[in-house]
Amino acid sequence: MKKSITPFLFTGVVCLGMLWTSLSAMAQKTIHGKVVSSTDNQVVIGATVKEKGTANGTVTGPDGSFSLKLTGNGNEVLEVSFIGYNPKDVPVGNQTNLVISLDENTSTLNEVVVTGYSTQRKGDITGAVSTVNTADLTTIPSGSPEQQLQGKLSGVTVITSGMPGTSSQVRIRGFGSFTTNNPYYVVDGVPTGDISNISPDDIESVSVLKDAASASIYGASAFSGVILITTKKGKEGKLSVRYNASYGVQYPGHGYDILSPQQTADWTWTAMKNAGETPKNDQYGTGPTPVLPYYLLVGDQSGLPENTPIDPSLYNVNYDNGPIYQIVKANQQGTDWYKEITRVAPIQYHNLTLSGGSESAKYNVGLSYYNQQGIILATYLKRYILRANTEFNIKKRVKIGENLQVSLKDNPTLTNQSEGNAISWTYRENPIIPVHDIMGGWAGTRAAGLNNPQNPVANQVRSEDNRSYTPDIFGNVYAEVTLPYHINLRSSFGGEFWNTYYQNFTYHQYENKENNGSDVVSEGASYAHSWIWTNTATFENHFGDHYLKVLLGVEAKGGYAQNLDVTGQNPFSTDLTYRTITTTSPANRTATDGGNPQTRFYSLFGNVNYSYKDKYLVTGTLRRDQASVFGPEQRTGVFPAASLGWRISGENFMKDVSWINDLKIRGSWGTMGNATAVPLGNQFNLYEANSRVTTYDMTGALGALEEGLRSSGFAVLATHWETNETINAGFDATLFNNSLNIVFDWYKRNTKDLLFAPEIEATIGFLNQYPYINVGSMENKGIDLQIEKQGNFSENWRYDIGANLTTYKNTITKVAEGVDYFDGSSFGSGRIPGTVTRNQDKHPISAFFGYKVIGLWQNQQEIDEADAQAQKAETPQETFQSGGEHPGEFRYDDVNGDGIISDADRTFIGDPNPNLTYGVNLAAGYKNFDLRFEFYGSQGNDIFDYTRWFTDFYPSFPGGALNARILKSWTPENTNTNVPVFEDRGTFSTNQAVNSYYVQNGSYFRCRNIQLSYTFNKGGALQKAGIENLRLYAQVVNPFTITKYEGLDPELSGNDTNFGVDYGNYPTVKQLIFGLNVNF
Amino acid sequence: MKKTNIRLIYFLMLGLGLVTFSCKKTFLNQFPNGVLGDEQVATAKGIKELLIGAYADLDGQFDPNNLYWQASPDNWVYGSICGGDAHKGSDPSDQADALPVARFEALPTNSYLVVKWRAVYDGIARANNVLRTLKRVTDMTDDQKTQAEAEARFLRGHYAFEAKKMWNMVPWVSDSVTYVDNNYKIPNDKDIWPEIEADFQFAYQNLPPTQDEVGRVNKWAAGCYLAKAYLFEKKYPEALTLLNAIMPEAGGAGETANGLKYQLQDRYSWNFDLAHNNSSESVFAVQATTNDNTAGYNGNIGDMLNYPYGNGAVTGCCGFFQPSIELANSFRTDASGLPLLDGSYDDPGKAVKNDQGLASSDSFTPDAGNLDPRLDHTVGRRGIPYLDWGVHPGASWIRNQASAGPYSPIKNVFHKSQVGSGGDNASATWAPTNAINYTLIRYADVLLWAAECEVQAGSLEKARSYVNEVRQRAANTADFVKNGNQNAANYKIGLYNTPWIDKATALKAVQMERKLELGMEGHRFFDLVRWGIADEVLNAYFKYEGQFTGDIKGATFKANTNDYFPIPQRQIDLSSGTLKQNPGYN
Repeated sequence: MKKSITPFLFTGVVCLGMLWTSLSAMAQKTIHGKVVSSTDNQVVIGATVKEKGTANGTVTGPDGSFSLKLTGNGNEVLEVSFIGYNPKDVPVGNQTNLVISLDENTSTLNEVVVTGYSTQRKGDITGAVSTVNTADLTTIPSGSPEQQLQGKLSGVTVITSGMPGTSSQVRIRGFGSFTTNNPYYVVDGVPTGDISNISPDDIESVSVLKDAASASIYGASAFSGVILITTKKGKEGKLSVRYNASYGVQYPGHGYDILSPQQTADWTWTAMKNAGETPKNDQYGTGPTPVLPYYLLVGDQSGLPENTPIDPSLYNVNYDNGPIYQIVKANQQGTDWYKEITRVAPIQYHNLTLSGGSESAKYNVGLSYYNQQGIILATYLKRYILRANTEFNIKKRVKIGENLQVSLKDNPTLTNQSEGNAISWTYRENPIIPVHDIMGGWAGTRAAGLNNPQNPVANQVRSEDNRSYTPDIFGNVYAEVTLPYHINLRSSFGGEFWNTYYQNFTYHQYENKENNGSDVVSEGASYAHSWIWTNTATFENHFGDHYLKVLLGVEAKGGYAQNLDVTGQNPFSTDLTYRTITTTSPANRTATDGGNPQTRFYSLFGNVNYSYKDKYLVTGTLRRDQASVFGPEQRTGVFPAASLGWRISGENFMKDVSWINDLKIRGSWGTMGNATAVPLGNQFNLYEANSRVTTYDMTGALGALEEGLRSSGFAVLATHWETNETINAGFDATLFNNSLNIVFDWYKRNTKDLLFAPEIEATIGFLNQYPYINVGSMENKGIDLQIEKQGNFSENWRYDIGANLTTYKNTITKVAEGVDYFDGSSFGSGRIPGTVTRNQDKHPISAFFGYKVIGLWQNQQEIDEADAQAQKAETPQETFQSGGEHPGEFRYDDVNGDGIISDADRTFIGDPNPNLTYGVNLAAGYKNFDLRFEFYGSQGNDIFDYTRWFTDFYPSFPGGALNARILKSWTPENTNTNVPVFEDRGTFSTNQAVNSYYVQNGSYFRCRNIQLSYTFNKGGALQKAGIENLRLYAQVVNPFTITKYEGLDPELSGNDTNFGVDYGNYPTVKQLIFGLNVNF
Repeated sequence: MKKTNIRLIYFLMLGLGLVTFSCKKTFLNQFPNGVLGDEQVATAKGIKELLIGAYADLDGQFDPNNLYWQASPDNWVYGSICGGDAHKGSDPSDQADALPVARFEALPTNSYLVVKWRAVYDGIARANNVLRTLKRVTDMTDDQKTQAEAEARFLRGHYAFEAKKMWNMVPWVSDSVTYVDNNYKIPNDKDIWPEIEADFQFAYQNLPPTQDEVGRVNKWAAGCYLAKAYLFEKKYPEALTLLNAIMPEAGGAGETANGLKYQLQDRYSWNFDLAHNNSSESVFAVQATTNDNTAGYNGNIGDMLNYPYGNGAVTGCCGFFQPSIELANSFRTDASGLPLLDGSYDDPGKAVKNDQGLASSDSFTPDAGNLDPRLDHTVGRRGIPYLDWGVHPGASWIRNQASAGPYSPIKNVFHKSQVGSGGDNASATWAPTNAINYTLIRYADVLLWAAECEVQAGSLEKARSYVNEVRQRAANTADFVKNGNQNAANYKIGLYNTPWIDKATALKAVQMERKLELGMEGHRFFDLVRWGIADEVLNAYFKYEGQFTGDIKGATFKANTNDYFPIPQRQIDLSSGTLKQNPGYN
């Protein structure tokens, strides 16, 4: 491989070298000049300077200067123009050295937007591109820019959780693939899988390329849209020092609505009575009414009264000292487990940015510190980031620069969406259990009658010393050469390098029913690097009314990733300083590693932009990608795109419509590809040794395993790119004296040849990774709408209103040949038989599938009638629903009308995909004060509330906590309810079926932010203190959420073919923050 | 100057062009790490390891990311629970999918059946991998190849047998089936007994009588398995001929892979003690091992849930696989120490006294009547020492008495003294495992097959001698469970000293002996089905047992349907309809 890359490297170096030598060739001059901006006197690079009425012209260099040989009639007028500035005519006269000052054009149409490998004037864009700038992005403090994108951009859906350092699910225009729908993040030209390490204050702009016309220049990677992030660069001028800081607290809010110990006991009795049993319980006795015990546990005895003699001298919680002996008093008032595992947690953020530069060198250096303690004990994110972006101008036509970020992250988290995480224990652990036993040890379900949950406080406190560090280096170096004939060459080499190290410790617990059997040390590290080399050549020029920009490029990328994980058990001592892998018992130490080269890509691409009179805009893009994951015949993919724009407002007939400042309609078509999920081995028959499942103790000598092999992959050579085809139509309008902007897009995206690794019939054997093949197709359509209005009410009053709306409608149009569905994985341990989500033809991705509850059986007569019918059905069944029914239990919809309930009656009972998501920003300012509100909402998404299985049905782990919902459960007297009878019966008609009882409306409307800020007047005292700008603010983040959902938080992520299920999710929390921004 | 620039642009174009064509071929050729390709495994070493891989599926663990008790080789769910030996145990909602299986209400989507199906077909695929790759190997002698083929075919026969007895109409997957050849959608329209027989026959004819490694199948194990197939096919004469060639009692040459002449061990309980793995009674066993740095995957992990529950018990988890009251009752013996063949052991007054409904703090005295000593090696019950873990305290070791009765499993449980040396109580996982081999075919099983065949052949006396041989061993007083120096219960076991009067009585005695000798070992349901008495026995069981426990109350066994389980719906779907569902399931 090494050999093969050399010519590539060599060629690039030669190219640059040759360009370098050309620089000295430019010496002819007649007049010289410099173009600067009137606002800040900064030089304007790339401005067109043209002798009016001729084709004679040039562009300004990196220092803003130009030289032009004039035609020499004595009356020359220079026409100077640059995007973002009003064009200006300058008579030359007898001057030979001019300084031309351009006024900035305030219209947003002139904003420069970063697009694929290039920049474009916003007004010239014909694809679907959304942008957000740093000021709007950073209104809410967060560890991750992804979270800050929520509600800021039309077409972008962000689902996140409150866990510090969590990664969010970001979707651009919904879902187009069964495998991955993550956008392609490109930071300063370098792709990365994760932008959470970027400090929001280092971001200059974010562009989201949504349709094929704008994104297909990224070809095979652009499948799910592209998010381009540009970090801040230094500007010529004196040193500017900026310090941003915020400090705040986060409030955990309320946990689940859990019944008190007395209520829990009472309802335990009810459950048993409702099932015709005689109530009894190891804690509550056997009487006609339950009696709360005074002691939950004394030694081996459970459920004891106050007068029980106790002997604390027997107390022992150390396995080394013999059998465990605990004395645990019942907490009759009830333990609020959610309250116990949470805390009011501080959050702080500091950023110091130094920027400035001269003609020849510019710099921007940012230092950030972010420390968010989680509301749940032992979770936090501490992160340090250094960003240093510099750029040097050499000999006026050569620019060399680098963007570099070094970060260190310390981020212990919990496993979100798991029935055994701290959050889940809060709805599962019986509140009668105290946190501690009477001697200060941990209390738990060791006592009888309380089933098997674990003490979450004990678990969290014990994990406080878990460590997880991730240093990460990310960035690129680049060189740019400006050539004559408006040609610009650029070469950029970038990449990322990171290395995670963790050490976790799991204790040999004693307080629970099902304790970990050992002290376990897990330690490990992972390493990865990726690289990308991009070379581009750009030609850009105006010819009279014509404008042409041509971009050609070549790119290669690759990388490597590796991990090593080791676990060991039972070190001599569990002291933090002692427990290491080395000190664990040699008997049960296991080490595993894994890793692979990253898929290599080799790509060529080109892009042409043409416009005539600024009214008729045309672009065309073509990218050819080759990826190593496919068989030799299938490696190449070609992805074309084209778009058209018509600025109607530029036409004469629109000149008189004064309220329209600008109106452009546009349309685009294009294709993009995807190969992300396909592993390198897809094209080979593979075999692997796996110590767990291919070894065998052939000699019977206990512990002497012999290695074996199994198939681990089947070769498929026909697999090729998944492609989608997008059509997009929209308009951009600027109205009412540039105060109102509307951007509207309608799109339809069809994906074909969907890559998927469908399960194969068992006759070929089991594989952990089935081959990826091209299977089905999918359609997404929807609209994106963004509206902004700003202006002044009066002299001192200003306002800024923004709203955006995103809709997508996802429909699977084909799953695979002969297969019309596949199911999501069963969540966790699959407590409810069957799976919750199904991906099926003509339905949206990850839809909920199960039995539809049409009500509760109200009386025996209803049941008897249904049973009688079932016995006469074509396939007779003893009872209508297998296992029988009782009053108050679920009655399912006989979807196929065959008189019985069977598998065939399962149907689609919900859809986690929202109909629309939206963001609204309202800002008003009076003099120095600004008040800002931000809202975010999701409408029409369903949630499958798996937590109900644990808390709403008695036989699901009896003895655990119960949700207060059961107070509304069905009784012969209380029939107008949807909560089923609370009884000790676990059947198909109660908790043993995936049904619509769990499906809840997940729509919500959330106030994301209320912020009040005060900006001090410039000058005066500030100036004396050397301060240029000072702003103070106070804000409440997530002050309220309006939703019907009864779980902790309606915002739930998951993987793409299996999401929207609530199984113990770290909630989004309320924060109160104070901050300041100061510039020196 | 202009010329220079133009030249420069040409160079530039050329440069870009070069980049385009320079690094194409090799740059994009990548092979993943940590895996082998086709050529590397087509060697003697590759065959050796592929074969070990095929053995490795015997424990039902085929997926390193999941622990599959659903595919445990001892069939504790399908063989024992479905046969009425045991309850699912634990809370009804824990492993809820096992309950409909136990109640014969399992839908074709039931996850237990899905896993079992996958496990056996993965085993077949691994065996086929050996057979297929053998054809490409050049560095092995013909003898070596035949030996490998024989072992692989034996294993394939075993896995196919599992499928056959579970689902009856199942697809036969030969070694010509591959994903690449797209010929894996195979109908289940043929009886596969001939293929299973052929595999065992080939193994029997080509395997050596002993092997260097005890875990490998030998000639005699293959012969026994072939006999078992004959038995399932009701080909009793063929089975008997074969068994007579194997059993030392009949002058046969049968011995274990490590060269021990087939015979019962001195003590019944040694069959369930890891210190006595691979004994003279171990015809073919799934080798189990622990403390081998594989997180329990190579222990008898399929039974990981099947331990008493609660503090002071073996482990905290998980209270499954609780022996039924009916099974315990079956161990009642009469004054001469013989079982009550008329089934009256369930009658009030004769049923074994148990502590159902009592808390551990309530007082309880265990049954004082005559009992077969094998009871306390099969059923963990209150008041009786539970291996060396102490006296079983009753309810406090039981997760949910009301649901699944008062008893604990015991045969799959290790001794306290073995913790760390085969009994892995300190496993990192939440449930333990241990190194007790599951003996797929144990010699007592073979003796009772022979007894059954002799009954069918009308040689009742020979049958009686085989049954008595089994009972004689059980009567070894040294093996009685003791409380101190005293027998823990009133053990009374005797031999059938009078000839059986007729074939029916003899058959009944043999069948009863299988129930007692092989209780909780995963054979019962399949025995009931092949005897054609599942309907009668199981419906009576549900009626009787349902009086005491909630889990199987009201369950019924449907004759002609429930003899076999429904074929997993997902497999039918994936087969594009090539697979047809078993009759009675929709």
